[in-house]
Amino acid sequence: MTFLNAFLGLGAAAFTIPLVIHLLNRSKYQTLDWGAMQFLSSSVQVNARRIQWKQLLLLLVRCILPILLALAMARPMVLAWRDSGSANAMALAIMIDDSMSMHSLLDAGTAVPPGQLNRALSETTRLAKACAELESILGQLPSGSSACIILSGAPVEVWAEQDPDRIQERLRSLAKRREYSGPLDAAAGTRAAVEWLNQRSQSRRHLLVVSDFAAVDWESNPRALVRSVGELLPKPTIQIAWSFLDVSKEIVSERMASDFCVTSLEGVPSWVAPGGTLTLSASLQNRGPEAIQVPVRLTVGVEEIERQSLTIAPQSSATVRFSWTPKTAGDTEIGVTIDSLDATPHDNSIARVLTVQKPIQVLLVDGERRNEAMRSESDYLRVALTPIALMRGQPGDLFETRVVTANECSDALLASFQIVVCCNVPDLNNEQRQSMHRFATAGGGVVICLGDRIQVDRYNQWETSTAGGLRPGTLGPREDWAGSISPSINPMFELSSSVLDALSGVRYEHRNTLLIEDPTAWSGMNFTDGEPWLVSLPIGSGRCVWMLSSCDDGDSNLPARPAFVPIMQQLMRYASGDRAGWRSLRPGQIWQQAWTIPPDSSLGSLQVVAPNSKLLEIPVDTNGGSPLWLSDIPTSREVGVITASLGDQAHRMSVELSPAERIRELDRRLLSENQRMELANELGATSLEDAAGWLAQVRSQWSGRELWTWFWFGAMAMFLLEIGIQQSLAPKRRAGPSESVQPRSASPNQRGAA
Amino acid sequence: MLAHPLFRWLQPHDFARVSALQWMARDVVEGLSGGMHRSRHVGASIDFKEHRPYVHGDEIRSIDWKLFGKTDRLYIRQYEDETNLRATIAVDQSGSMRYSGTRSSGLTKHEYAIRLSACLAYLLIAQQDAVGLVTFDSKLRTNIPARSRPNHLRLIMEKLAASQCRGETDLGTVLQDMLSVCRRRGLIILISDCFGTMDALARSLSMLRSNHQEIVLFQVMDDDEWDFPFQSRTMFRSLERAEEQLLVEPAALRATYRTNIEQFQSELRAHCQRLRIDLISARTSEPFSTIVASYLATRGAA
Repeated sequence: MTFLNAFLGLGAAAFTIPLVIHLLNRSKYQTLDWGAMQFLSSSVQVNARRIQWKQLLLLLVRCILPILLALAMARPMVLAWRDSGSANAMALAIMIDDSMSMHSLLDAGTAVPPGQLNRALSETTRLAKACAELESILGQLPSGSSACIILSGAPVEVWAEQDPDRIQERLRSLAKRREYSGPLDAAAGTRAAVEWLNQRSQSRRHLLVVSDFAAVDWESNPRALVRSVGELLPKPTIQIAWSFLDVSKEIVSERMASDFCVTSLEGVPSWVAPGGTLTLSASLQNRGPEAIQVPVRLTVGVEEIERQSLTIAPQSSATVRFSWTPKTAGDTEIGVTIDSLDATPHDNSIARVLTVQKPIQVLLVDGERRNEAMRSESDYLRVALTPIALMRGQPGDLFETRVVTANECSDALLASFQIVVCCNVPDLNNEQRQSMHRFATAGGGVVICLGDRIQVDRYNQWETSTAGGLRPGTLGPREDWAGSISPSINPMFELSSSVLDALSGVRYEHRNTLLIEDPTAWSGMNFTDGEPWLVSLPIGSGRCVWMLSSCDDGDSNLPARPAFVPIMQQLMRYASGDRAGWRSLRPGQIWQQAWTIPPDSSLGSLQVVAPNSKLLEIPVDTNGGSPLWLSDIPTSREVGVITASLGDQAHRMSVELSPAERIRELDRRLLSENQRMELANELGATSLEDAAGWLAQVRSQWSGRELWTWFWFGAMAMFLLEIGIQQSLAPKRRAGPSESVQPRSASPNQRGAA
Repeated sequence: MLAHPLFRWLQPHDFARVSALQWMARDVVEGLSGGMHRSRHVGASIDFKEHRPYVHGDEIRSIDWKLFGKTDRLYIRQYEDETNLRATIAVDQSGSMRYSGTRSSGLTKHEYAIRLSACLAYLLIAQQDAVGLVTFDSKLRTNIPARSRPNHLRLIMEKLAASQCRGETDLGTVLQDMLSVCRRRGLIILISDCFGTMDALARSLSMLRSNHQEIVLFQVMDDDEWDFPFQSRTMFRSLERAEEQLLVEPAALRATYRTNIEQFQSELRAHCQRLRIDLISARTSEPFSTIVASYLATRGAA
């Protein structure tokens, strides 16, 4: 607090005047010889204590009165921003960059000899520093303010807690986080922040962007940001004050000789069975100025499998290869770590999840078997499923195939396979159909590919799925039709965008149609006119998939295109109910995982452990007693391995950046000073380095609040109180008794004389 | 004539005002000589009272012969006797009567009481009534029996002039002592501020009344004692007890003081009304002759 007219405050010393007058009056009195003492004595007895208190109160009021008047005239002013009242309340949206680069360590700020560079590192990350700065800001906001935190690494997360203390608590938790989220999505973060600000009632609205301003995040973003903000500000009267809080000032990397990172981890083959050997390749990069020999570890779970020492030339990359032979099937976490001390420890390791799976046995029932190469109905499919074996003569394919005719199908043969594929089989007799139905019910996959040899009428005489058969509906006749496949992503396929794009070049000439009648059947992929191409029908623990075209080149050019391989492999993996190979999702994606629900089982809930060790429980939905449950597991925003377990079943999923995103995020360049200024100017933002700077800037817009009115009202209240006390002490004018001679009131001059 | 002590207390305009007044006894009185007041005795008078049967020894001349002619029986015709009034003026000379306020022109309550007494004595003696004087504080100090001689007024004035205010008031005891002084029916004019215990005062007044005494109470008070107008811090010293003194803020006590004195006055008025005593509140700021004239006018009209 300060005073605009401080010298007038000296008038507060006037409080001594009533005090002195009071003391002088107490020592000065007149003496009067009095006759009616009996009335006076009784009055004193009744009123002595009350009068004494009132006199003291009166003295106090008279002393306070000049003090308040003097303070009012001195014009006191509150400079404590937090105590300035709700008139200065603001809405503050804080957009925090929690992408990979924000996990870089800060410089300890100490001078170290070249041999002890590790001492130059502090244990604080840029994110932790940002959180600490924000805690400081939130702790000093004026009363009535509201704040919102937007974690702007993809996917964006909004913390719009009502309680600022709760936000501060979450910030403390965020500061300790070691897992990073996806790349900065500044446009989405800004959109969320502005949307939140638009809903606030406070007139003062601030948007504070806290980031290290990595070049890869911000170089191309300003225009998108401006466009995003422009779309979200329909009311021009709403002014949002932008500020940038840069937490990247303390760069330690320049002082560190070593700066390594792991850019990728891949395996050959893409899947492995227990007992097989997988060659893992990790790409390493030395971004430091010197060639340094670094140890590199391969870990599976928590067990270290292999350690190598590698020397990487400065500013160059190298690949390290490990061999690993899994002993058991299942989802396995595989990690590669560089044991090197640098400012970016978060990029010194990579962890992925690989599903170890035995080769899937596929029985191809060929309806048109020929001796010439690539003339049989199942030849294209066999090539698509076992390309390595057929092309290179080496193991490494996910599938192993055997081709038989329909007459060879039996329960005994099917027992050693996981998938049976009917390729243009004209018809199946009752026994064969029942065998396949039993096979599917037990968990196997039945794939029926149509073609020019099938007898539609006979097919339509098969038992429908509702009657315990394989047929989900009524099959239409083979027809001439020119068109293509409509690419789509669904639980049946996890295809890359390049594969899906390749489908656009597929041309069909013939096809069959299917009128789906079983409500449990669904179309996984359609022709471009909307007719189903792939129809999945759940049967017991397995499923039957109908492909309404041939699996050779009789109906389309698809089998001759490269996209046929991944599509068919994916289709077979779906049909078999298993997914071998690397398992990964992007941050925030939904993880769909199939779980087997045993009959009369009470499994409770699905336990999901996120990378940050946060436990999530999802209630099991058996969907009316279905033996299979496809769970939708929300993955975390943070990169890492998620473990989900249901009873004795357990699966893992790696939440990771795509290879391109990871390489992009590993770029540790920051915006230059000029670039930051340009960015700030483009957005009309103020660039700051710490919370104190931001607070000072916002406070500078607030010149303080004068309090003289409160003191003035206080003085008026004291004045009225003084009058009230005086009145209570003063005589009450009453009419005298009705007597023959009325008493008369004393005149003022007579009182004075008394 | 100018040397008469009466002129020390009464001014010529007081004489002029009082001379035209008459004090009439409200009850029958017992006098020694003829006067203007009704006597309890039957005697020679022109005011017929009643007839009674003739008995042996009655004067023949008092027989009502006209009635004998009508009734053939002998009746004596009786007339009311008239006598003079025996009035005793009791003046309070206690310490509290020494107070002189700011609006009484320097007149103490005691001096005011003396002037009032002189005025009343002059009035009564002028109408041939006997007047006595009693002064008192905590006990009777002066007792001059009632006489109707004109020279008796000089004696009363001299005694009043010699009286000094001192001591405490004990009006209850004093009034009981007056029973021995005023044995015959008469009038007691009590002039006092009546400060003291109300119960004792009421009891004593009641006893006097039961002794066939008519009582007129002149309560003399100063205006200051009534409205307590003091503002500044004051040390009040008792006029009756030297050791009693109070240092107070009068303004703060005024309301309670007024309540107390009004309650006292109300009680006194109630007792006087019950005992058929005339209570006249006299302020020292008002001329006593006005008070007397006003009272006698009211009394005559009753």
